[in-house]
Amino acid sequence: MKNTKRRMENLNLYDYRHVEDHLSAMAARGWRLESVGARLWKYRRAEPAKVRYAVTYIQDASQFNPGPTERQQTLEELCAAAGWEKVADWFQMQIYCSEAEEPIPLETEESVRLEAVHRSMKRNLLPANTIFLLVSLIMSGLFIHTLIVNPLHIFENDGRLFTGPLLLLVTVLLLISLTHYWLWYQRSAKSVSQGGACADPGDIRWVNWVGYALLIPWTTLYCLSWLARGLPGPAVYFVLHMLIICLMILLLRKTTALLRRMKASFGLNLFLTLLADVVLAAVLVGGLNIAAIKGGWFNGAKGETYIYQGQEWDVSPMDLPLTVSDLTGETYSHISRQDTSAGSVLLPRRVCREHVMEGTVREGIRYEITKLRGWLYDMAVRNAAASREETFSYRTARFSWLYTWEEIPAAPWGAAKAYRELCDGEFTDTVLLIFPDRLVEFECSMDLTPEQMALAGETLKNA
Amino acid sequence: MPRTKFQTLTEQMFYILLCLRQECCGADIATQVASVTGGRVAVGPGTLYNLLDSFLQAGMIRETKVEGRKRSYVITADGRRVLEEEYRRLQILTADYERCTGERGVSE
Repeated sequence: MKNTKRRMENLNLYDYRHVEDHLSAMAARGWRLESVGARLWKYRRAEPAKVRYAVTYIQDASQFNPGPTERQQTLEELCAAAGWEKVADWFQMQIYCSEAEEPIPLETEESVRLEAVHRSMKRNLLPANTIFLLVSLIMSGLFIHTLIVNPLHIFENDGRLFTGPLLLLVTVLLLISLTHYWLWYQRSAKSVSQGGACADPGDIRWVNWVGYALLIPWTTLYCLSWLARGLPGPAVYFVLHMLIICLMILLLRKTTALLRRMKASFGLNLFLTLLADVVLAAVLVGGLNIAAIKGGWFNGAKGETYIYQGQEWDVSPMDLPLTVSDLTGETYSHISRQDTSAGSVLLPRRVCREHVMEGTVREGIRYEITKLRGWLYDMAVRNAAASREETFSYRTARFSWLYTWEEIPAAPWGAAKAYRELCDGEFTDTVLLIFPDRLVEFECSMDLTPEQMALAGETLKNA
Repeated sequence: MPRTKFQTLTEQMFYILLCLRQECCGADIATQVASVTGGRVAVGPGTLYNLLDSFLQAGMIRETKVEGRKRSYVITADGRRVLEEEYRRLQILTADYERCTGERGVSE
């Protein structure tokens, strides 16, 4: 039988009544609070007993302190004299218990209690959450703006598709939490000024539960979207990244606790914990990124290569749907190929590149195949065929190029529609082919014959 | 600023300052308040701690000695003035009551 257990407590710092009631109920069930972690609260088994828990707030309490501060010691002395025993602290909240029948309450003046609670909230949770809310609001605003102005920018990228709604969720939950506190504080101040007690904050735990209830399925959906596209790499990367963050939080808390046991000063503890944070992030996240790049988790593993005439070539080139050899019927001594998955679950995109060399002849092709679905079809086609300006600045000089599309006969390509790209009015090597279920941007260094166009169109239509 | 905050004193503030006319350690203040008021007013340790801290910051009391965790305090001239103003305010209230109702205080 385990004598300790850890629980993830869904409590708010200012909701002292709920904390007190919850701990008393746990003690009645035979579990006494031992210590408080970031999320997990540790309990030890004991005889079920009627234990009264009460909390008060102290300004200079910190997890980085080497031990109780002078103020905390003064408070402990006063509490001990009144029969209250210190149990743990949670941020500025000081948790005490007493087994006396009718101990003097820890707080006997509501105005003083309210002031202490508000001071503690102002010390860390309110500023931190307010900054977090402002950042979330700005980012949510940008997300909504993009969604209105250029929705395809979001729909064609899994990362933006995933993080956008998540940002909105975080913003709403933070707004609810902060508003809830502000309303509680206003109601309490009014009640206290009229000689009453602090207001009952009500149960706000649902906010956290809603957060988890939406976050977990949404995250799972994100991973499944990668798996559904046959790309386990990004899903594995994401899951490992989340696990690393959890591990880092655990290790940092252990670091702080160890330094506290070693009696390191507040400043030293804070500095070393931050240093450990940076080192752990560099090692763990950096290590994961290196593993992902080397292992080709996103772009597929890169095979063995060699260098010839200053360029990297593949020893065993991968298969591609369409190659230069397919178009020319020639074989080449040096080949370099790349096949990348991009886009999103709504608009999956495959990008293939090939460069070949034989003697002094160098050729290359590049094509992007974007599969289109239902309601996104028109939007994606419109977006692909829209003109765009590209700019480049060097010192005071600014250069710009205007890219436009001109419709060309689609029949040679076997496509529904076809366009050729122009850069400042000059044709480039790129064509845009529109098929009933996809659009293909095809770039080729060679001038193609009608037969080659037909072959390219037919192959890309079915790739 | 402190005067605005302590414009009027609550019962607990009043009795804490009253007890601190003589040097007293924190833990003994609660006992003395209970004793002076016959148990009618109780000061919880959390409230006592926060009030002592506020009085210190407002310069109404000062720390006299520290023995281990035990700290002793005594009222300052500012604190004494606030206490006396509160006493006069209470007297005015009592006098107004008596004048309006024609009754003497219950204690008499």
